[in-house]
Amino acid sequence: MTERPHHDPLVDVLGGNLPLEHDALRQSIWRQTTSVLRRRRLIRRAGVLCLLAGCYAAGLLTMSALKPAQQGVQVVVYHTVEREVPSVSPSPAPVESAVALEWRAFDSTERRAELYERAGDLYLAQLNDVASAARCYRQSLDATPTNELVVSPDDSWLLTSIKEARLKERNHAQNGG
Amino acid sequence: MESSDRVWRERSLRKAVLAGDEQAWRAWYDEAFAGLAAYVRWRCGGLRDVADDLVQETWLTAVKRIRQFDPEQAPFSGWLRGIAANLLRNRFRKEERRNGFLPPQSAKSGGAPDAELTRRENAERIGRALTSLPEHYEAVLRAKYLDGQNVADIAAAGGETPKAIESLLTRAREAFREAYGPREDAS
Repeated sequence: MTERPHHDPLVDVLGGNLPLEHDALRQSIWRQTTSVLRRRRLIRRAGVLCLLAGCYAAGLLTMSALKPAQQGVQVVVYHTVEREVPSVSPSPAPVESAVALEWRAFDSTERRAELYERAGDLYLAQLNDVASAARCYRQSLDATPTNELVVSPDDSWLLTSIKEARLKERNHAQNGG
Repeated sequence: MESSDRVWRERSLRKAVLAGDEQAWRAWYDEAFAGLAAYVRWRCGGLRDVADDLVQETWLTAVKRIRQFDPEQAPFSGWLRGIAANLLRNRFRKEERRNGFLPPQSAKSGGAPDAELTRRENAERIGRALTSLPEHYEAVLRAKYLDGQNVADIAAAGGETPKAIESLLTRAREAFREAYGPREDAS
């Protein structure tokens, strides 16, 4: 008994005997897929450019945000200086004020002693100009009646010295020396 | 090519394609095109127009979704076959929704059977039957009937015994026959 070769009926249905001619299809799909790739490449580059531009813009924003803060600090420094000046002298421009005060004292008749004394204070404290201070103090004491001459704890060392010398002179004159 | 070599190579190609490298894409395309076209044509029961549309759609989907491809899960050719199978399944579902289920052997009523129509119907039945099969049945039928491998080769490739493959093949054939419906020449 001879065995017949087994025939698989599914070979007729599922057999891969299909002629494949797909050059045109292959080229067409290649073109389409590469255009997707090119678009992706462009998007990628654009993304990198956007990122760089974003970084640059962020840098600019940071700089512009920092600038006003620096100006604010300068304002604070300015105020600090402004506060320190009155503690030493009432005038923000001491040289002019001392001279101006001396001139005002020279022209004044009623507050002459007081203005000369303030001018002397300014010369001494602000400009360390002992000669000008001594001149103003002497003028101030000249304008003060002799019996009102007293040393005050607020007086500067120079004014105190001059006052003491004047007081000694007065006592000496009163004692008939 | 060993699996680790393949994974390393395909990972490199994927990275290059994601960066827009056309040469890398060309390498993949040339390697996989014929295999995919043959597979899709087989899955479509030989319908060339449907198969061509599907091949085109598969490649476009692949190039757009290449980021999702993981070489460690499957080789590139397998990933492409998966995309094609999904697209084909969606196509059949859409057609069923639009036209209703096409019963087997729906010959023209009253007239002489149109050979082209019959061929298309048979092809659609093959496509639908293959689509309805579990993946491992489809894979063993593909190896046997499309790739033309014998049982021993299939067993060696899958790390199985020939007996196990023979059994799997028998079950796959049965499942296909059931899904395909009665043979036309049975009456």
